[in-house]
Amino acid sequence: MKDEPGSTNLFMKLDSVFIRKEPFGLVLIIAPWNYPVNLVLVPLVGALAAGNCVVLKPSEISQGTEKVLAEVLPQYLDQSCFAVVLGGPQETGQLLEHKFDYIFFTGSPRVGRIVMTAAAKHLTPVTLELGGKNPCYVDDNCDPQTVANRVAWFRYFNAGQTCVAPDYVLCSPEMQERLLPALQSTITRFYGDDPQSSPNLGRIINQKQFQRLRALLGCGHVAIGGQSDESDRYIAPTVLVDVQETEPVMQEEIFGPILPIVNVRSVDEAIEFINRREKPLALYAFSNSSQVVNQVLERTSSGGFAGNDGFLYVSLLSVPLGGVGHSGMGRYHGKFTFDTFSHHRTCMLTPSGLEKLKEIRYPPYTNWNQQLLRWGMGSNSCTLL
Amino acid sequence: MDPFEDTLRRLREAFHTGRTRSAEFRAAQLRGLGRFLQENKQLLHDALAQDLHKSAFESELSEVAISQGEITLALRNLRAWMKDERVPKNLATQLDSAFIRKEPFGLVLIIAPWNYPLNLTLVPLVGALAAGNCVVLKPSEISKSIEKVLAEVLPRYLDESCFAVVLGGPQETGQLLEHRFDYIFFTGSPRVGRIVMTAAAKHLTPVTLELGGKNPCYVDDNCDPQTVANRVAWFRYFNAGQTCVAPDYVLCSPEMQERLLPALQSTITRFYGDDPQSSPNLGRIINQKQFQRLRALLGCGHVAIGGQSDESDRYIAPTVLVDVQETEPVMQEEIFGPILPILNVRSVDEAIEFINRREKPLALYAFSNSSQVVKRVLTQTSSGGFCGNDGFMHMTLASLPFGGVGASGVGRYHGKFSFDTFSHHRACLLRRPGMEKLNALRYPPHSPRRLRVLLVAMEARGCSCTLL
Repeated sequence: MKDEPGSTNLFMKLDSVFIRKEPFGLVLIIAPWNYPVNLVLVPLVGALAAGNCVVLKPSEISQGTEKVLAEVLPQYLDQSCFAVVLGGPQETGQLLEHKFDYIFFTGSPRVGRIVMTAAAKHLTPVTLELGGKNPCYVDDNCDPQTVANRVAWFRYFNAGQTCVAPDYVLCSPEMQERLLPALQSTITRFYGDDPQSSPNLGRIINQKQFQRLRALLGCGHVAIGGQSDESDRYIAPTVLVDVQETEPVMQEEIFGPILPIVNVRSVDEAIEFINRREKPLALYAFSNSSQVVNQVLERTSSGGFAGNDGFLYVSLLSVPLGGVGHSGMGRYHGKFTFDTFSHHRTCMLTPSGLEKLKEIRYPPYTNWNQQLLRWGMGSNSCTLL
Repeated sequence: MDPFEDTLRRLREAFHTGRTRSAEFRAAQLRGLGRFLQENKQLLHDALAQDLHKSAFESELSEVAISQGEITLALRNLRAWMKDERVPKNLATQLDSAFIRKEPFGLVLIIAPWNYPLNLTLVPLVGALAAGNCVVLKPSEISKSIEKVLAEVLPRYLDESCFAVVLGGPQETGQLLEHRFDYIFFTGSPRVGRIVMTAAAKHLTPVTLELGGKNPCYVDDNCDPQTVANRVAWFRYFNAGQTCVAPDYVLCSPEMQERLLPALQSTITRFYGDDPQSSPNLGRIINQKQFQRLRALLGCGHVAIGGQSDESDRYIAPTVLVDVQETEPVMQEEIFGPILPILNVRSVDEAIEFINRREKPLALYAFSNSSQVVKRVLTQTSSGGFCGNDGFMHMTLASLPFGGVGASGVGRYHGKFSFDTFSHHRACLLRRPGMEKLNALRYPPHSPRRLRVLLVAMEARGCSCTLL
């Protein structure tokens, strides 16, 4: 919250200059259903810390959590400054017609456009945490079992319903040969022979998402998994191979426990493939060679990047979480959240007297005035005063 | 036939080659900008004089010097700004490399206004180029002379595969905005700001909007009227009032008004002489449309000082209006001219209430000998920027962010803030491919003990760890 001092030039040595953090006012947070507590509370922390009043619109799809947020959470906050509003797309559309001083949205790019368009009518600043297809390049030079462990854990966590999960793998056919048995071994170790009975595997949020994912199981060939159970909204940890770029599983963000492997012949081809597509929220590269990892990092762009692991960086509060291009705009976590929900106001306090010092800037102008002013404005450290 | 298609494609292709990424390339562009200013100084001064009747002093101070200062600052700090920012790590990532990398967005569009047509084009351009972007510049068609220089002379100083100037009016700009950009930087009115942001939303393009508003200027009873008159007048009539951060109207008590008016008259006479129209130090209104709009405002309240105008010269005298009602046009729109209305309030509280009933302005001013009064206005209002006891000097400091809030704008820039505005800050974590045993803790099947250990490892402590 503290004012941040600024540096002055020669003419302002006697002034006090600082950046003051101020709340915007009325903040709207629209949260999704996949991490319905985290993706509500973490932005909320920032909005409250920055001194705003908050309207929270939790997802109507994660009904269990929505109920707790609507009925229990307000009891813990000053309800004159906080409210939970409920509803589906229609109510949210109505809500967005109102003027807010900041809107924080987590969800799909399609709805992100709707939110930003609504915000534009009121010139409301926004943070949009969206999504994309997060590529995962696996180099020939790496240990398949280690890679399988890491990729599988981040892919199947929350039954794949994670905006930063590796969405698809890019590797050579040779690497694919070594990766598949390693992935099978990992999946068995994680979830047992019958993953549906493992307490450690999540379920798909609702029927609509389940049907969408079940349809994707028809793309390419199932190499691992592929089972599903509608009554349980269960989809087995699945790996697809022989997938074409034009198939649905490579056209939309998967957001489920399905991992397609697409073949490339080199890291250059992988980078080219990645750069032909929208900038993702996260990008992963696995290789024993730090040179290869750095090459992928340098020649691509994404919200965030991890070499040789999955989205662990999201747990590091000293780095910002945010997208770029279609994966989003703005960022948060830790201090970044506070700064997101604050207006940084530049302030200068000048003494009311000492007018003689200011007279140099007044007309009628002379060359002398001009020279002195220019010199004074350009300098940052003053030996005269 | 879309006139922009080819240009935009060419620039995008150039960006994909990676040409703009190196510090050497960016520095070369910045030095090119510097040479553009130095080698064409007279040409630029003449163009500014033609467009806005700017004196050499104003041109130098508010257009050339500010732009040059930004170029110099960027050149000096480029490598430091470009550097990966190392960040503190938690226990789980102690052995890893964690940093924030600054990357260009790609293709940036800068739409510039006519009032400071050099400054408000070059300063954002410095940031966009320093950040490694390819840039499309759309200068204002209203400041015709500068537009010509920017279109014909400026590109020669930059790598034209990565930079283009496009020309046109509202219709062409609308067409331009249908295309996809990776960042849009707009300076202009809130009305057009909405149009820009709506167009950007279709492509999920981030924006910075530097807009405007009516900047209040509270003058306390406890101050020296002559000092206040000097300061307010200078910032109000600079560039004939066509400044987004100029004090737009004064709020003071009737008693203060009594003392302020003669002081303002004295100041105006000292600044511009008995016949301001013949002073070389007073600007002119940019065009007939703005002139007509301003002349109509002269009918609001009563003219206490000035009030003269000359259509053939697009001249409006430095004017002060009194007995102005809040409902009159002069209090309904941003004035953007050399007219200063004074409204009466009975106390600082009433002034604050008045200010808070209206949209958040780009700048806010409070004059008082009492720092308590100044602080009160500061803490009980919001605005893009604030200055106590002076005008918009705060925005000449490149170390401070310049931007609006609410209807006065979104985002900020100047100095490093420009670089950051035009960069994507990418979180990066480089882990080792081995040491898999350490990761085993997080894999299923899970246990409460493992969870406890994991939670400790994730905690955000700057950890000097005695366990390892």
